[in-house]
This record gives sequence, C-alpha cells and structure tokens, in this order.
Amino acid sequence: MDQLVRRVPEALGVLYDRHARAVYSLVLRIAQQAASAEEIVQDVFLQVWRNAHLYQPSRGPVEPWLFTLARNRALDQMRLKREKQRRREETLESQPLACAAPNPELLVDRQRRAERVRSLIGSLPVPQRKAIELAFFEGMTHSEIAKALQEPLGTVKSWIRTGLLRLREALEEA
Amino acid sequence: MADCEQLRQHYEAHALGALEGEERVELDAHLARGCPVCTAEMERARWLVAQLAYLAPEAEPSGRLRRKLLEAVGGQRALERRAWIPAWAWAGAVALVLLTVFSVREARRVQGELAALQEQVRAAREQNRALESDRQLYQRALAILSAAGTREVALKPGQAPLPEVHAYWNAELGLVVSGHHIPTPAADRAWQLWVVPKKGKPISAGIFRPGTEGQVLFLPQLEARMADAAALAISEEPAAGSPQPTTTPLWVGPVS
Repeated sequence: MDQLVRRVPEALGVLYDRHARAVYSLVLRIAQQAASAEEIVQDVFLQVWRNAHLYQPSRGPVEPWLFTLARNRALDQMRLKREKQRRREETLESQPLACAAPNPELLVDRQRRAERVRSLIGSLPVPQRKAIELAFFEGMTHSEIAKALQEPLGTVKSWIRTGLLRLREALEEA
Repeated sequence: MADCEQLRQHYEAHALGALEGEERVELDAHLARGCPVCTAEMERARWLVAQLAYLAPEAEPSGRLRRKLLEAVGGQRALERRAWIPAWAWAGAVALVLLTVFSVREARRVQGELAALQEQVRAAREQNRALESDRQLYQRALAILSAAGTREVALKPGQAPLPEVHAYWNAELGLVVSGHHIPTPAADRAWQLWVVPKKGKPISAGIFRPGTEGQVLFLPQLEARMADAAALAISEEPAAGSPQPTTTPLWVGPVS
C-alpha cells in the first residue's frame, strides 16, 4: 500500500496480479465482451493508481473496494451503451479508487468466502437467486426486477433482503 | 422522518443499487446528516454486496492487459519523477521534527509534570479533532469516488511536466478534486478551481493548496451548476482567491 501511494509501478503490478482475475471475471460477467471488460479493468486499476492516497486500510480489505468500483464502472458503461442505442443525449461515466498490500492469509480466506457465496446463493430458490443476480449484474432496481420477473414488488424486496441476510450469516460463521 | 431502526431494512438494497424512490431519498438524506450508526451499517452492507462478485464465472484477462497497464503508469511515473523529493530529504525533515518534539517535551518537563500533562491532553484533543476532520473529508471523497454515476473530469496540464489533476463529480454527492505531486504555489498565492459554464464567465469553486507531499484532496462547495458546466479549470491566483481568473489556467478539463 505504501509503495502504491509512493507511485511505485511495481506495486500496481502486485495489486494487479492478486486481484485482476477476480475483477476481470466480475466485469466480463456484466460487460459480456472481452474487449470492453479489459478496457474497464484497466481503467479501474489506473484509477486506483491515481487515488491510492485515499485508501484507508482501517476500512477493510481492498478487494471489496475494487469489486465496488469495477461493478459501478461496468454497469455505468452498459447503461451508457444502452443510452446511446436509444439516441439519448445524456452520458454516464465512472470512477476510481482503493489499493492494498498482498496478504497470503487473505487468499485462503478469499477462496473459502467465494465458495460460501456460490454455495449459499446457489441454494436459494431460482426466482430469488435471479432477483439478486439481476440487481447485482444488471444494475436493476426493485421495480425493474419485479417487472422482469413478473412478481409483486414486495416479494422482490423481501427475496433480495432475506437472501442477502442469509449470505451475511453464512459469511460471518466461524 | 424515519429513524435508524426503520431504515436498516434498506441498507442492503441501497448498497446493491436496487433501492429507489422515497425509500432511497430518505436513506440518502439520513446518511448525508452523518448518522454514525447507519454510515457504519452501510459500509458493512457494501462489503456484503461486493462479495456477490464471486458469483461471476472465473475468467482470465489476457497477458497484454497487464503490460498495457504497467506501461501506462510507467509513463505517468516518468512525468512525475522530476517533482519527486528524495527520501533523504524527507528523513532529514522527519528527524528535525522528532528533535523539535523531543526538545519541547524536555522543556515542559522542567516546567512541571502537571503542566506537561495538561498540554499533552490539549494536544491530543486537537489531534483528535484534526484526525476526525480528515476522516470525514476522506469519507466524503470516497463516497463520491465509489458512487454509481460519478463522472471523471481529467484536467490536463497546459505545460509539461505538471501531472494531471482529476475531478470526480456526482450529481447527488458533489465534486472532489484529487492529484499527486502538484507543485506548491508561493506563500501569497494559491490554486483556484473554476467551473466554466457553457455560457457566461467562469465561476469560482474555491481555492486550495497541496499538502506537504504535493497531494491534493479538495471538496469544493459548489455554487455553480455542474450540469451547465463546459469545463473545469485551475489557475494560480492570490492566496485569498480572485473573483475572475487573473492568469491563464494551468489545468483545463472538458466536462463531457
């Protein structure tokens, strides 16, 4: 982290080696196109580079920040494409942030966490899982999901909340 | 007005970006008032939502991407290197500060232990206040930087080898200006940020000075409407600022 703040390019290489695969996987799932996904991933890491001084280790590990930035940027890009297709004038862009030192212990933890996320969400009833995926990967709001799934708004809200609370419990178990 | 107990049911949906309408407006307004309970819970919710990234099928970026990325920052680094202050100079400055602190503390010890303790308590309180102020500043900046819909404005320098300055604007959360290795203007001068509207004269968005290492983190109180802005610009002005730019802007960035 200190090395990144001091603008040592090799530190960005370390951060990239540690997180690029996971960040790219997320962005590719949203963007659906390898070329667009790589462009977005590069932008995310460049923004981390420019704003490394803003990252505070006390706020937790860097990967959730990278995921948040990458997801927001990818969703904004997708919205932008849709807007252009509709010939609207408004455009959207995105943002940057974060960084961290490599931590071998986190790798094990991360692997276990990834398995728990897949297992828990995979165990949910299909419509509930679909609702969460539409919100996370497509950036849909409650009412957009309700319309897409043809389910009552209250049901969709409940599915998402209970699903995420179950996920939290699963991740917080020792 | 809803309280924390009523709003807690919305944390996860808000972090997910699914919350909308009055529920979202209400939670945003509550967070903007700085509620520590909901702010902390929202951070937990964001962490939780970020874990959903692991649902994405695993994929590998091409090796070319890593090279492109490091080449890009290598180029930036070369531009910034001229402004780099050597480590020995920093070490000397730190040593001087430590020596000064040590001397002051010794003098206080002679004056009496009680007086020294009172001074330490006062200093600690001041430091706490400064840290809290910094924490709030960073928190606001991070909120803007990581929010959906935040737009980036790259302010390019008119003259080499100045580094780029980046501004990030979010319609709901405001504007943050960020930069590294920005030169410090003379004591009676400051950098002044301008919002250049599509029509009319530039509007001041405030003055700032870089930190000791040239770092800039500036959150202006915007009087201008960013939606009407054609560009952002930074010029060197008197320390108290100017009503209109008096020098050619050193950084300019179009607002797309």
